[in-house]
Amino acid sequence: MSDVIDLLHKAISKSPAEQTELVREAEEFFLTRFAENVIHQNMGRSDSTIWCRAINGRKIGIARTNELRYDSIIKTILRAHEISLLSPEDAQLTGFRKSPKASPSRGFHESTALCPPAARAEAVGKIVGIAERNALSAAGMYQTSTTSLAVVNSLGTVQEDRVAEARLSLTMTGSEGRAGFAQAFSRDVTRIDVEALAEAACRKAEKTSEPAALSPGKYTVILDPEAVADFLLFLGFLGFAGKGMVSKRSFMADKIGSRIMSELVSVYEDPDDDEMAYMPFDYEGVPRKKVALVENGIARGAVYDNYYASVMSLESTGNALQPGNSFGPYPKAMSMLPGKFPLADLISRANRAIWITHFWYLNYVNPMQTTVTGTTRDGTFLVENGKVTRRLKDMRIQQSMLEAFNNIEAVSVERRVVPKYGALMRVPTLLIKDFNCTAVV
Amino acid sequence: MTNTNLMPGQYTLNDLIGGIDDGVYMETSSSWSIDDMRQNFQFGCQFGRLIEGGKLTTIVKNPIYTSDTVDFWNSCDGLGDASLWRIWGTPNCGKGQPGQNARTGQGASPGRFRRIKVGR
Repeated sequence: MSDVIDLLHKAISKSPAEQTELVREAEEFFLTRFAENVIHQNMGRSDSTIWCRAINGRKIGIARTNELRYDSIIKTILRAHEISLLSPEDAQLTGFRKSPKASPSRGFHESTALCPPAARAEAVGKIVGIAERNALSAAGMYQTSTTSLAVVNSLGTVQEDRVAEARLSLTMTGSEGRAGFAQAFSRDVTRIDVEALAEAACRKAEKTSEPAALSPGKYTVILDPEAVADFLLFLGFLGFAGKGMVSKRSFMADKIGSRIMSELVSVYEDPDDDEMAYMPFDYEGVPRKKVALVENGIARGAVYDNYYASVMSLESTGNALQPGNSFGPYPKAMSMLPGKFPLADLISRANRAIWITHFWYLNYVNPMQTTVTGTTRDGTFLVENGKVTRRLKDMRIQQSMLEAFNNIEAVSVERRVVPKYGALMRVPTLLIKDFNCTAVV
Repeated sequence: MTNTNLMPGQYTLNDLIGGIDDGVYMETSSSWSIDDMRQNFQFGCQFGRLIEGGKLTTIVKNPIYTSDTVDFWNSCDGLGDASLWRIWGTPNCGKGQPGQNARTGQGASPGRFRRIKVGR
């Protein structure tokens, strides 16, 4: 047993509450930012947080600290206990559970955890070299981090593990508004092909013709994985989350078992996916499970923590967020199954389409209809007769995501892992008809 | 820009609404999106009321308005007076990679804007 678990056990034994839970999250985070072909920031951050949840009857209190001394943890436990006694009763509160030991993490690589600043700088040097050879300007960020999580509760739950991750995102910009975006994610930093990523961004920013402006209207579109992931993340927020199922503010409420999308769409919460390898348990210490969200276009389920699962008479799927959050459980590692078309075939199938590589500033317009608005950015192209023919000016879109996912005509074999906020999504490229573009930006 | 204030004008709310034959009084904010050059934008509200013949009439749900920043501000022909002015703001103005939050405040009174594209 580690020193951290020992410390949490020792502290929890002193709690006056009927039930007590301690969660300790530690992060080692390193970042290099660059712009205009120059590194302008290097930083590192090391921090830990301990949360305590104390339950007395049907009352719960939550407190936290980032002072890791034993006496500070005891003070935090006593504060959570006092808060619980002063809190109103929650009739739906059922108490903590004892969770079985989770499988060991597959998401930790020393190559990432020990990646030195010089390695990040060397990678940025390669990116800048490629930018300069193409008369472009590179901007972006390269980050590596390690997250350790430990959960102990007075019912006997004991979990501790860690994951590492590397993220590289970059934008190449040139004259006349030309821009290309690319990003990569891996648990193992050595698997990120920096040069290939920079070349991919350059190709999107290549000097071709002047960008054309298309009239607003409905178009067939090709969505790169980054754009697909934006939609999937919003569907996760709006529909695949247990709190929305309980309050019926999810478009999935009352639709389980019904067809809601094209039969080409299957989405799973799949934390054990080889490429995502998410932390194997959640902030309540519950092992994360594989959950069918949509199978062949049929709504199958949502993700839950202990509280919302209990309200729905279900079991937690291991998707609790940090204690005290107001969002409820969210999916964190969504996998959309691949299709049967190689990417090149998918483009060649399009007679006339807009190739969207990236969305910018999506926001919902009508959550129950899953309508969002936003703009394209950093690489929008016209595809004619199966070939990319010219650059386009960016466009504002306003589109129901369910409608778009119902209008899918082809799904690529190839998939990429796209990180967005705290979530990962492994998604393919999609060919979608009747996509609503409302204005030229 | 964490503290950006629009100075008040001289109109009462009745003056602003009374000068509109056919419009929408947009109340509450629920959705916001603007392009990376801060030009084309679209904002949504939870609640609005139609303005017909200078009077508030039917409630409309989820109205949206969209425009270009420069066109929009050039179309402003009236701002509410100091009695209508207050500080608004947001606790989660997000920027950067990786994302960072800023607390921001914006002072404003109601404004009247002509010939703006609206929808729902």
